[in-house]
Amino acid sequence: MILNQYLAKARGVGVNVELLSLSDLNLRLAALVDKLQAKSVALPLIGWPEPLLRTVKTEVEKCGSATVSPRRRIDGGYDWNRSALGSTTLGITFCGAFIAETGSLAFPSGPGLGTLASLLPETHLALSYAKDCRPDLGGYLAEFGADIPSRLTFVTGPSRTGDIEASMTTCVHGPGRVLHWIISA
Amino acid sequence: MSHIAPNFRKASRDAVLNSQVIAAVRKTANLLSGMMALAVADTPDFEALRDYGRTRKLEISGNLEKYEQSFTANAHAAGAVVHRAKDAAEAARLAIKIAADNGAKTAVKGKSMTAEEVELNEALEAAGITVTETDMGEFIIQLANEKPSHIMAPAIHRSRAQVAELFTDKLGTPPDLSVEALVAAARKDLREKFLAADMGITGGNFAIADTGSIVLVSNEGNIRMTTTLPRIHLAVVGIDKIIPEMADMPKFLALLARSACGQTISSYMSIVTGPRRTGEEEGPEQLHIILLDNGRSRIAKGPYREILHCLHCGACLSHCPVYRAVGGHAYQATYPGPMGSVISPLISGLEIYADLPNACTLCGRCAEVCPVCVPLPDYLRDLRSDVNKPPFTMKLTAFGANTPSLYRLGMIVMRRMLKKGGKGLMAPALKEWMVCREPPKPQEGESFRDWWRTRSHGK
Repeated sequence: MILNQYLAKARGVGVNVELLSLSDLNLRLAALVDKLQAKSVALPLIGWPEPLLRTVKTEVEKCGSATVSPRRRIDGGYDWNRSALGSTTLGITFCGAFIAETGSLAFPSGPGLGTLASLLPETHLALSYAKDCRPDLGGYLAEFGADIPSRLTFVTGPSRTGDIEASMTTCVHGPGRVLHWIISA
Repeated sequence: MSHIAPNFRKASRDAVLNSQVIAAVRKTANLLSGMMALAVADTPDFEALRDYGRTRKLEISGNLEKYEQSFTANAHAAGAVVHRAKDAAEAARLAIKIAADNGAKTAVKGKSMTAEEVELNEALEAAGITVTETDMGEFIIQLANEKPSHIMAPAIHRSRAQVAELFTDKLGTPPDLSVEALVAAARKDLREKFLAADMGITGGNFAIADTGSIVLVSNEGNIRMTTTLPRIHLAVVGIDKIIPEMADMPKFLALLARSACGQTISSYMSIVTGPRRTGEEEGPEQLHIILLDNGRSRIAKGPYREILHCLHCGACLSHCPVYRAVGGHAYQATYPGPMGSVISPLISGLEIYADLPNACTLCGRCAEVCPVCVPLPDYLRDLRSDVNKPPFTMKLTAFGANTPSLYRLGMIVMRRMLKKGGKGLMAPALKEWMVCREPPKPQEGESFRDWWRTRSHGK
């Protein structure tokens, strides 16, 4: 089964991946926000299934943390408040496709679908539904046909470098910790 | 690096004496080649992938112009501004103009060997633009005011202790930091520069003709920052990086990631297709792509065409006994190691890099590990004969070896000389050879020929 292949691959590259049921989500979120002492959480707005976004936003705010989201501009587009985003320690994104072959999370760009929330904070939590697992990279890319988004970002494990004596070290520019919670129900 | 006259013989002689550099190079090269071996062993169809890579690349390098046109049209359709630079100087001029037109004063840069090839940093700095390298290895060597010594691991020649010393000196960090603490110090220093920069500069690992996309991989996340935060993104891409279709990319990526550092895929991959679109909150307002020729279309028509297939993974460097013995700086070229010894003379001229094809033992390891099967040893041998016709002494030697009576006489003289420790008539010709070697001692007692004559056969 491809989900098992994904789990093995993602764990192999250092993603902290877990399967959980929707009913556990609130408790787990509260525990995470508490553990990280995250005063503000980056939360890009669009592309989430509505109920999931509402759960996350409500729960994070219930823990006393602020959520930082892109602001809507007059022209209908969005903008991040960069200094507010820069002070977040946790970024939570919805991940609508993840790839078993490589253990990667895929993030196509689009209005409100920015990837800075998965890049600037030291911890990145991605939430997915189990049904969104794809077997391989080639198949996933083919889904777009000629309609490629301006950015297609693939995240495979934490930010790392081997540039000093080839000793693998995490948390270079991006997150040092990547959590992936896959909601199975 | 055309302004200095490279001298590999001298530089390599100096390099082998620098045990600190050689120890650092060897340590990292061993780890890299070990990681590649594990990843390849874990990929049952790796040989089939290599075959695919070579076959597909042959098709591409045979139709470079067609794919370049297609890439240019599709990137333009996606909103990118595509420039073409016939040589390094033109690429630098274009980059300066792009910065000047947009009032860009600061740039953050992802690791790019193509930018090194056109000496982009030097050109931009001269035009008053501050360029900050953001790849950990490049950041280190920029602080040290050095050039990369490996195309994939640019600071391979520096030990942790040396990096710690450098950071203390330049960034004011406490002495003797661990690798983790060094990385944290760089993260802090560079984060502000990312957020403030006007321009982001990258290379490109692949350019996809049918979508006009640039594919960039990195493990650190600096490429994502560089392509997302500044208002202008400039990608400098060699025309050899073009591949026909998006569907080709996963296979080339699989070859590249495994060969570069034993991964299935890098931590981050960004497929960039045009600038920020209406309604998007991130991404640059302008995307400029400079397609660099700099001799590539000429090479594509010549006998060394397959060197353009190179994915720049660095595997041939880490596996090369010469590279491991002298390190990358001794080559005094943008591209060191086996691939560099082929591409550097082809780009800059054989008269400048005449020594490099000789920086090779023809052991063949590079061809064995090359993910797209570039025939590097064959090319290096052919380049040697391009450098010069055999010198007179070699012709004389060949004549002697082909004439039994002369050969016999030569052997007698040689035995006499070697008994005296190689001093004598031949000594000047063997001078270079004996710099780091002891001449062999001839066998004690009678020679094989004498033995043969006195036994069964001679009588």
